[in-house]
Amino acid sequence: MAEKIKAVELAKLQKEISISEFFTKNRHLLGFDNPRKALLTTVKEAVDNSLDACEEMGVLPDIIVKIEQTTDNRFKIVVEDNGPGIIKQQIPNIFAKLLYGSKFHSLKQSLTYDEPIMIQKNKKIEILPIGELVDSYIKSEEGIKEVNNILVPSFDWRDYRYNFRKVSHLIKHKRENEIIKIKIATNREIKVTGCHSLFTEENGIVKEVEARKLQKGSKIIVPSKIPKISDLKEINILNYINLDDIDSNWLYVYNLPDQLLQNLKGNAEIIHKKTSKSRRFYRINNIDILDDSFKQYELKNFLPLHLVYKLQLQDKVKDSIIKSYYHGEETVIPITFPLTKEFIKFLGFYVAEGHYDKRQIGLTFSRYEDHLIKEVLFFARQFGLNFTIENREKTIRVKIFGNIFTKLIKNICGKLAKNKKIPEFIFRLNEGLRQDFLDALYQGDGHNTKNRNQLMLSTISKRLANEVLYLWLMQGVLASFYQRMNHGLGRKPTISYVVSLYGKDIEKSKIFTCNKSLGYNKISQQLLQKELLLIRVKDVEIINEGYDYVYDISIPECENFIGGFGGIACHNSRGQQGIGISASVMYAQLTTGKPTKIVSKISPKKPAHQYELHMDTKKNEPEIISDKEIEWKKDHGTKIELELEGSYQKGRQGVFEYIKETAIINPHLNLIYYTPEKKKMTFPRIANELPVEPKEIKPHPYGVELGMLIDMMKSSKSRNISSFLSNDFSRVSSKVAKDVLAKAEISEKIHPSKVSREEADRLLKIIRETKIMAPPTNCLSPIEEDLLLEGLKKEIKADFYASVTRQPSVYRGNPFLIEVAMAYGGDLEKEDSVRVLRFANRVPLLYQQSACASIRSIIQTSWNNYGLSQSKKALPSGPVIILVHIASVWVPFTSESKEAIAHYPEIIKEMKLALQDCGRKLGSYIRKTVKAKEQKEKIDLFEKYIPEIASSLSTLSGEKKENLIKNLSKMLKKNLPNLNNNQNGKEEK
Amino acid sequence: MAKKKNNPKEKLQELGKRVSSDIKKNKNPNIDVPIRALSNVSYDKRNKILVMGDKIAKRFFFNVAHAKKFMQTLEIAAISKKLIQEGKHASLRDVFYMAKRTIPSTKVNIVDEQPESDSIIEDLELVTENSRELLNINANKNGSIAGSVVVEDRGDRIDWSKMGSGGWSIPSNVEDIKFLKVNAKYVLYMEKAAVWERLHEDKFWDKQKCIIISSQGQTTRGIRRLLQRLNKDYQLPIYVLTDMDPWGIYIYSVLKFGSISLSHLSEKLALPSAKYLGITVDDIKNYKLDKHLIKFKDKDSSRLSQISKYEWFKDNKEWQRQFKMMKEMNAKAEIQALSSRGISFISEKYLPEKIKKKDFLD
Repeated sequence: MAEKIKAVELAKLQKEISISEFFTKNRHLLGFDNPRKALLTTVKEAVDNSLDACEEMGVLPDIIVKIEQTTDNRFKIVVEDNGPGIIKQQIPNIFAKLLYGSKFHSLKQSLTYDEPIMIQKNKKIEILPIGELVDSYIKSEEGIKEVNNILVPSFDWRDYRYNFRKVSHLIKHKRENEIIKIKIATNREIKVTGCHSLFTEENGIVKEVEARKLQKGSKIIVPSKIPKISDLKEINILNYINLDDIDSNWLYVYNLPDQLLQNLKGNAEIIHKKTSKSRRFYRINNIDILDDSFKQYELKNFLPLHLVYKLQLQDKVKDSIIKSYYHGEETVIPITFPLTKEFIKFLGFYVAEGHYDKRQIGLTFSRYEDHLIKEVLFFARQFGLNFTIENREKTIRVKIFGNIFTKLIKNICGKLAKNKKIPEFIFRLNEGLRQDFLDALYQGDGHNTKNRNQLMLSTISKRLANEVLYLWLMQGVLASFYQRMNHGLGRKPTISYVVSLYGKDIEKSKIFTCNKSLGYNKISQQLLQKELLLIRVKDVEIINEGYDYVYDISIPECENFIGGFGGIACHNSRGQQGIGISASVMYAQLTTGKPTKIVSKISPKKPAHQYELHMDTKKNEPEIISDKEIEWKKDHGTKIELELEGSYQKGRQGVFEYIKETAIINPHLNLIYYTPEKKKMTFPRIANELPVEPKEIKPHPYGVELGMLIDMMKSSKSRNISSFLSNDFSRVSSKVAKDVLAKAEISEKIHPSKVSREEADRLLKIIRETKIMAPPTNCLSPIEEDLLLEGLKKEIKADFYASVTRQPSVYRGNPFLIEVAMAYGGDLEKEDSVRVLRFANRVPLLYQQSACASIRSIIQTSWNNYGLSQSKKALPSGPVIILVHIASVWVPFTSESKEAIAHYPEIIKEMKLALQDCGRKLGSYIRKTVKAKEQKEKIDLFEKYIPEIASSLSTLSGEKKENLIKNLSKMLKKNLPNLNNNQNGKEEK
Repeated sequence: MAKKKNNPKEKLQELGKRVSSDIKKNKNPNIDVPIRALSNVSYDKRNKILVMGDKIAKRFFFNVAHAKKFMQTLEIAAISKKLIQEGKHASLRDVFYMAKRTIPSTKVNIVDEQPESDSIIEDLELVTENSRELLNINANKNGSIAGSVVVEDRGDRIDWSKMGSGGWSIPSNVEDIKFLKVNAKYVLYMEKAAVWERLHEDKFWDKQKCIIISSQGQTTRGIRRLLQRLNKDYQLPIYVLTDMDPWGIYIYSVLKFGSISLSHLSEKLALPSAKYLGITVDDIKNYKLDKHLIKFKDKDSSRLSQISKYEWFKDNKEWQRQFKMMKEMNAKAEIQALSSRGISFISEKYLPEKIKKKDFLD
């Protein structure tokens, strides 16, 4: 209840978030990403609810499912059961869980304000703190804001390649959990809330992992490459200079495009103002221009730069030039700058060595950097910039003048060493030019230590260091980073940030080379997928202070982005469970506007009620808009009826398949299904007992992870850590508790909530090393071999069936049990791959087959031994259906969509044993039938041979053919039984 | 084999009667077929030929594994009988096509491929104690012959010295050929038709007073029978010229001792006095052919070790020496390697020299 109250409060705080917005944002996670899935998900949720309700009440379920097509793309779904019925007060809670359920509440997975993320907005690239980005959209304390002009690099789950994808929402909320700072090898780091997920790997599969479960030595994923954005060739400098920068200067835009001024004048409103005398003005976009001035402009076809800004003509004048005057000297620069190699390199040198003064920028080189000076001067001459060279004691300073140019450089590169940054358009260059920039930067501020094979850049701008890390990522190089203190002479010590790369990576540069004779001192990294690298976690720190607000973004479908210092793959996960029928209610309302009808009868003595449920999306409240008593011949039960947009699909991922598989795995279910084609299909009950309800057990210590252990310790009622261990876990005796605490050097008397993270970590390690009895397994409820067989027989016509229920086993402290059944022959397709029906706790899994542990287990079993043909690394083929069921207190899924079972070695082992057991039964059947069939065919041949032999013999001996045939046929009948035994006999000698 | 009571037609009839009587007696009908395999072959050291043992297989009809062969045997026996009755000869290929038909209302052919019918014909030779030529079944003619010889075949006079560039092609049945004039000191048999053409062009048979014979690859029965007649009736020595490799040596082996699958005919076909002229391993050195060798493949070396273990080579020291050297050399040489010394080197130098020196292997 406590949580519910909190959720209600939260809902109040977030009045401006519309529930429909929330739904739209998350629909793909809820199983509504396409019309086909929407229909299936709705049937699935409703049937699952009905099954649960009946089982809870202890009645054998009778369920009726009816799908009617009302228009082209609309369907009415009715699901009716004989469960306990629902009282009125409960209806909003059950059918509107979307609001009240814990799901909404757990949306607390976010980054701290200062974590950088890389975004593309209005075509420009920015690497900025996520808080700065979100706060610019959300001015209130908390909120969700829909956006459509922001893209972030995000990898696709299908091919693990990064691409820029649209961000749908920005999210800001108050911090509720701890913040965890994670630092990995290469010193990339990120601060996220404890429940925020990053990515890791399990058995070669990319998997999200909550930050609080990470510890030193864990591995997380970083991108190996950020995708290229464009191949930018030129920039309009006006896009990088603000009006504030220029309003006090004498700057004019010449060579305006033809007709520009005439058009302005043509569209202008003519007004008169009275000052000392009446004057005529042109009013354009609320800007008044004196007619005399305008005449001047027209005469020489120019405009003052500030007017270009005010009239928003920046893009129209891109082919024009800017003239400025300083001490009477005229400087001309083009508005469009071609991004030549010289310019790019100049920018690199400036970022490394330059500084900005009001009217000049200076680059300071040491005396032996002649070649760099030459490059800078070459560039300055090319662009017609005024410059001077000053020889100083140990250095040479190049100064470049020009109002607008210096402003541009200041704006795009930063003013002082401390706040230097990479010009945003550098990220949009092609790879070669990006490298030229990096090369210039490293030539200026860098250092190639050949004896260590390290190319390093030292800067005092943290922002620059981060951007350089991201830029290297675009080059496909995972650079490293560290901080170091500089103790300058007579100065305060400063921190400098070093971005370095090692070994082969240096070869990316066009200037620097690596020392091939030395070994590569590379950060240990492992390429997991196309563009994903696994990196070791170096340090985890929990922060409980500060960071009042945290931030998140949502990327539909992919749900991941790159964030943190240096770039780390981040997930924005949404919790584990499906959201249930309430999502369907919402979906129905959003797509057809029709309310959901619910009929409920709770007792034969009471009348049935029909309610109409509507979601008030403004108030965030479900509403029962009508309630009337109706006649319903049932004793008790619930009927739900909703109309939604969808599409009805036949085949393996359709409603029919789902119902059929549900009937197979729930032999106690009686189900009638009226298809959209108005066909009635019956799935009869074959077992008259309800499945045994799984018992709840305490977690086994092998199964807990650090975050969970810490949570349990915090909320435990036990007074000391020793009783906590023995009371809150299964199979931990007080002796075991004592032993592990002693080994972990933790006092038995300490209160569980006082145990530090380090101690908990140590404790967990000791627990895993200690032999503890496996958890009790009577908590599992298998279907059992007989019923499994019957279930399969009832729905699938085949010649042979087999089933196996394994003994319970344990993975990570969680008990589980595998059951396998097979059907062979009959109407099943002979040529195709076998069909696999997958179930987890009696629920059919229809999607993501190839990612499922069951499929891997089947592939790894060698079916050739059992009479099925199988090519390498493939499913076997033949007329076979294989059913795999896992029952567990906690089924590990690969992802939150709950569609595939994760690849735990213990689970795969059990699955394989069950498959082999079943396979042997199948194999011996196949051998027998195949043999018998061949034999029969041969015996048939005797009959056909007889006339041939008779005719040959009659030619040879002159005997009558008919007589011979008669005799031989007689003998055949008599000898038939012996022929079988004879068939393999060798020719006698 | 007795001659009188061995009338092929009667023998076939006898086979039919025997099987029919089994049927009448409700006995599982069967045919006795002597086994033609290495297990039923032994080497007769005295006569230097391979002889067939007395192992016999019974071929039953009412046995799933035998039925088809049983049917095939009778079918081909019937074909043969019809041929004899009509006085016509058919080739092995003809017989195959005569038997290759689908049994009504099945998908089963009586025979599917020629080796099946060929093998049944060889079985019938044993069952009827008659060679296939006497069953009116002939092999394809193959091979060429040239020399100062005149023969009569079906009433035609044939002069082997006047047969143009192709020579006379040897029929599959040579039993009825009459020799009218034989003017030769020896017979030279060679594995390669191309080599024969070389020698014929060089008029080698004329210069050397000999007969030259070739067939491409394994020697046909017709040629073996002809060689035997020349050897027996005219006491002409037979010299064999093959490639220096296990396959060439086996051609010699079959000519001299007989073959495993036709061991029942060894008496009629073997040439125990035939001599191996070349190419020997020593020739490689003597005639400087070591630049023209071809490396052994795996199947070459395994065939070599098989041959070296045959009973009839096992105790032959000279041959064992050859095998050993060949194995060490791990290479083979074709007859045509001699052409590297000049196109007519073989006819002008190699052969005359070898024959003069009697540089043979036995």
